[in-house]
Amino acid sequence: MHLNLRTFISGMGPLFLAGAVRAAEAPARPAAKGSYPRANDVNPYLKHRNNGLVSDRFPDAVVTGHDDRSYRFYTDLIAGKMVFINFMYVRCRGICAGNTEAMCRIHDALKPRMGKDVFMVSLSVDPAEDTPEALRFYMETREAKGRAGWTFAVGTPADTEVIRRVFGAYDPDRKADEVVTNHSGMLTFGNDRNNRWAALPTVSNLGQVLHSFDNITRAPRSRYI
Amino acid sequence: MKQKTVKANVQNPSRRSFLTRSLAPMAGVAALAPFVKTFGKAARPELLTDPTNLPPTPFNFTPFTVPLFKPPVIQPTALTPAPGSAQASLGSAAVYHGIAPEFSKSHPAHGADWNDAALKTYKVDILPTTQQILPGVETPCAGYNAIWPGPTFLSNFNEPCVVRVTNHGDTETSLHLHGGHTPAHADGHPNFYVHPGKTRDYYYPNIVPREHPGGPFDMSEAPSTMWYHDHGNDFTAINAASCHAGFHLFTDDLEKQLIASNVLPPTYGDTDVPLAFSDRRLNADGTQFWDPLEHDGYLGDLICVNGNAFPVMKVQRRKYRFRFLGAALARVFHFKMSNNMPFLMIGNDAWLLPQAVGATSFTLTPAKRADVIIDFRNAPKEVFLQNAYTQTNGRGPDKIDLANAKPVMKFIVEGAPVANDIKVAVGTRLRPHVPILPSEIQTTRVFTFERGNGVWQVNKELWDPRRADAQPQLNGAERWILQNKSGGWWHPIHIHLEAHQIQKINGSRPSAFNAAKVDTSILEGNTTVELFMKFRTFTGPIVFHCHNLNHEDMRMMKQFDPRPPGSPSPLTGQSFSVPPEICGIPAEELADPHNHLFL
Ligand SMILES: [Cu+2]
Repeated sequence: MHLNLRTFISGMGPLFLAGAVRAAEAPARPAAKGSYPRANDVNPYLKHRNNGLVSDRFPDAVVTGHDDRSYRFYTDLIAGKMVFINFMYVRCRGICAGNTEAMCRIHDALKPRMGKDVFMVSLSVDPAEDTPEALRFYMETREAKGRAGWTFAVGTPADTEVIRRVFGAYDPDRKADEVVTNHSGMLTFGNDRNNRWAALPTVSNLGQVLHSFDNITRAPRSRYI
Repeated sequence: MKQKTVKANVQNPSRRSFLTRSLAPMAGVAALAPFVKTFGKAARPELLTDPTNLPPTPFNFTPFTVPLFKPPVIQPTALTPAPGSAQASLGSAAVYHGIAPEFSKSHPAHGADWNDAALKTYKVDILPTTQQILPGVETPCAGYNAIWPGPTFLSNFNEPCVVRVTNHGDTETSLHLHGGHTPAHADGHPNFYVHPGKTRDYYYPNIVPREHPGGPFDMSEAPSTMWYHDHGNDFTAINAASCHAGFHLFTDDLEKQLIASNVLPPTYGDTDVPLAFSDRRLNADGTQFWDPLEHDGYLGDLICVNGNAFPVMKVQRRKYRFRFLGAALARVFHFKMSNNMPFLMIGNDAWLLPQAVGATSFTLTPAKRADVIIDFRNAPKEVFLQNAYTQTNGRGPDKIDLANAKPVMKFIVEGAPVANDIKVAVGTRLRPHVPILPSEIQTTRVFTFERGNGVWQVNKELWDPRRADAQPQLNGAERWILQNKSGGWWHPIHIHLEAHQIQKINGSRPSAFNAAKVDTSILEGNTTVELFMKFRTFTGPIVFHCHNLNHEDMRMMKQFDPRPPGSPSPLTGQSFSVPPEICGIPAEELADPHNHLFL
């Protein structure tokens, strides 16, 4: 009765299945350059959870890291961890530079924990262009290279779209949502073990982000949801 | 009225056993587990709200069978150690977060005419409990004294109270008295927490602003319908979903006179009834459906009134005073009666109107209150309160569809018309309004609310708890222009501290209902509201913010700090410098060698 997403995704039909298989290869181009692939408005992942984990809804799609390795989005990057997750793309001339800079400051502040119990994932929303090589170039130019526990990753367009929706990183106004330069500048963070997640603007006051992260990741698992 | 009744495989609609639960020892409360019931295949009564992409509540139920719950009145109780004593001071074991410095007679803001001798003290425990949102389905939650809505406070003008709040929940909390005029320490600032396991003394002087510094109290500012709710950031939305809300009603001589002369019914008597409207969505195990990654606005499919979905109330053929409260996180209601009989609007937000005005329907956003008289004298035997707003996402409501309004609550009208009914009618004079004059305005400020790259900005800035975004002169008056440039999104903007007076909505004078005092201005999509406001009695920091709680948790918020001339705010944006006694957080906890953590 209760459908676990990670077993669910393999049955999602050709679109998602194909996405998972193709992940390690060069991803297909979206129909219109510079815009998101159109996805069904209905989020297939919002199932009744019966007190399960929020992350039951995180797709376990295969994504490619900046290090050319394949990762399962949930199992390898999130499961059992405290994680910061944001969305970026290499060609961005807007908010990405500031966001990545802010992530670097968070990384500095949490340095002793990074790669041990705290991790970061920056997922590309421009899967057509962002090869692992492009991600490496971006990391080098943005001071993000060589930082422990921080994975830049790119998935297929279809998987990216689903992940973006699950994380609420989209605009309910479809027109606004289709413009990739409008992409979300929020930083989602949480703790898979206590099932608590929240989000703030990535470029929020650093103290605010660290304090909230602490609040969210240390609180015990809620009894109420 | 076509009413869909689903197969009644539920027990008798059992009235909640709040008394036994609120008296239960902590150990017993902690042992409460979700009580799972299976009701077979889910049906979807057509009264459930508009389709979203969220899963519908999977329970069968018969609507309009559960009697409306009226929260009990909280009784004063002696507090040990006494508020303000050394044993209850900041950092103490008993009251870790202390009490507002304004509690002390020697504090400059503490007026010589504040009636300290009339102090009442109360105890509120935030306790894990369960709630029957649907009859027979136990939904785990945490409530003020383990009930939802929490117990109702009845306060009188200049009878101060201290509410000792202990957080037995597992998240940070902060308590805001919405519509109140309170010191910053007790205002529920989002960072002025009550930590889990800790206690804070909330000091409410229950005074009103003065006509001018040192002058008499401005009784036009006396509130009627306040409410209290969670305000701790990161957890406001989930705490609200966990049922943190209650009423705090206030009366002064003028309102007592209206009651004595039979214009209004006795406060909180049988015909003065609070109605807190919210929406919930349940999982199959009775827990609430909650998506912490939903930032646009939570929408439930069960409309709850005072904690129960689709209740019923028996009424006599007479006038009732209802204190409508928008307690939903994001849902906007537009109310009408199923037989189109009119409402008599007597108050907006906390304050009685200068005179009663009629309405056939009205809008209620999150945080808004509407003080409403409904006259059942000529009503049919059954009549429904209906919601005409359709809403399919947290951005805001879609459209008012009066012809297809959905019932949220049923009234069964009994007996013959009652003699000597209350006399309030259209045009009845209630609370005289003293307008803030353009000549009093010292400063004009513009606040533009925008959505940029999926996050909320005000004047292109993000929330910073270290920065006072405005420093009005203490006891001064200002013109604020609130602009909503976030596309079609709705934002009910709540300004703490005291009432504000709407001057213009999109350049036009507001309706009589909106033209006096409010504490929450609705910014519909692409709307500009111009308002006048005074900043009296208390220094800050004090916040104003969107009351869509998902937006609020994403920090759609700013703060101001009223200051006397020549005494600038310590909130310079550089380091967090609210003194420990103001924020109620001991200095050790504020220590921040790296200037990273502010609290
Ligand atoms: Cu809002």
